[in-house]
Amino acid sequence: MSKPAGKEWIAKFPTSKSVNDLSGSFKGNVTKFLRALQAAGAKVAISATLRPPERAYLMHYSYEVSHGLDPAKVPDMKGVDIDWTCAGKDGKPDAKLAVKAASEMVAGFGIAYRPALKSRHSQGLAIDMTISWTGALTITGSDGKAVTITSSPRDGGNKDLQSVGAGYGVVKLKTDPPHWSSDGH
Amino acid sequence: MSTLRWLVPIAVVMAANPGPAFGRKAGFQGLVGVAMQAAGKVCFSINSAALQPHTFVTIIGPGEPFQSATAEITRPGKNCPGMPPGTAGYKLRAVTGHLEDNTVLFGVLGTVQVLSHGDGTAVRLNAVQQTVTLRSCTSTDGVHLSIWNSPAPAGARLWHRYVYLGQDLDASCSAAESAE
Repeated sequence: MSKPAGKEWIAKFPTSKSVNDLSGSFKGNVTKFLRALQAAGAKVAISATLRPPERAYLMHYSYEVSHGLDPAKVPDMKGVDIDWTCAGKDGKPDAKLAVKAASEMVAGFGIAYRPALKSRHSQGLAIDMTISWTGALTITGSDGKAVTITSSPRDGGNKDLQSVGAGYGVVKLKTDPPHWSSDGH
Repeated sequence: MSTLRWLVPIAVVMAANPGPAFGRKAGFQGLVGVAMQAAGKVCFSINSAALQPHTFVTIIGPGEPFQSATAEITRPGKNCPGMPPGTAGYKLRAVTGHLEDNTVLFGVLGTVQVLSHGDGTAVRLNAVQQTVTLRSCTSTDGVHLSIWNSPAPAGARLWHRYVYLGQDLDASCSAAESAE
């Protein structure tokens, strides 16, 4: 039996900070890049890796229902047995309760902007991380050759570091400072 | 798009301490910061570590729905989430207006006149006697706030701040708005 929408859903399907939750070859690429950064003495703080697709689904449709989407029109998702209509024992949807429940979820998730339904994070193909170092950074590239980076800034915004990352298959997204992915999106 | 046809003074009465004076050449780094409200509490982050209690802050959210409020600093506090190191955090007490939780907003020291709002908000920053356009947009994981010297995205970008939200968002930024 499906469970009605509401704040009980917020803690399910949490965002991961583990590299092990990344997908396919990207997991290996990130692991190698992080190993190289660590060996070079850079500090790395990971904020997010996999955001489960179930979480994206809950965030996206709670926002949509709270903004007027008919809860009966929300598509089902395998593994997420949620009743967006908040139907009573008689099976009839409770429109008011559905909007209230969706709004509670929006508040609980901390949503203020329209959530994406699909992303590189939900595919396990992105990592958000803050990188920093002091002085020159000598890091081993994917070809095994050492690269010394003396340019600024000394963080993930550094173009030379981004070139090293791209060599490992970890590509910087220009619009979001912490975001690296399999293809730069 | 809704446009105000006359000047709307957000606040015309200065608090006891209006904050430091700024010249045109000083830029916006110590004049403009980021404000966010969560569970009714407002944080304010700015590149200025010496702001005193009762310093007056005008808060503006140029998106839809348009938001504006006035507040005063009560004491130093934690930075707003997602802010870079080096910015100072303050707690604010709202004086007037209503803010939506979890939205990323401009916090401007002193008073501001809103000239028009819709696709960007044109304002007069009274501290520097300058008219600018405020823009807010989303990228993959966060929000970009930017200030332009003419209706955005034309003209020059005068100030920019990225706030990481840690959520997958529908991106709305142009390349110019989200450029580092």
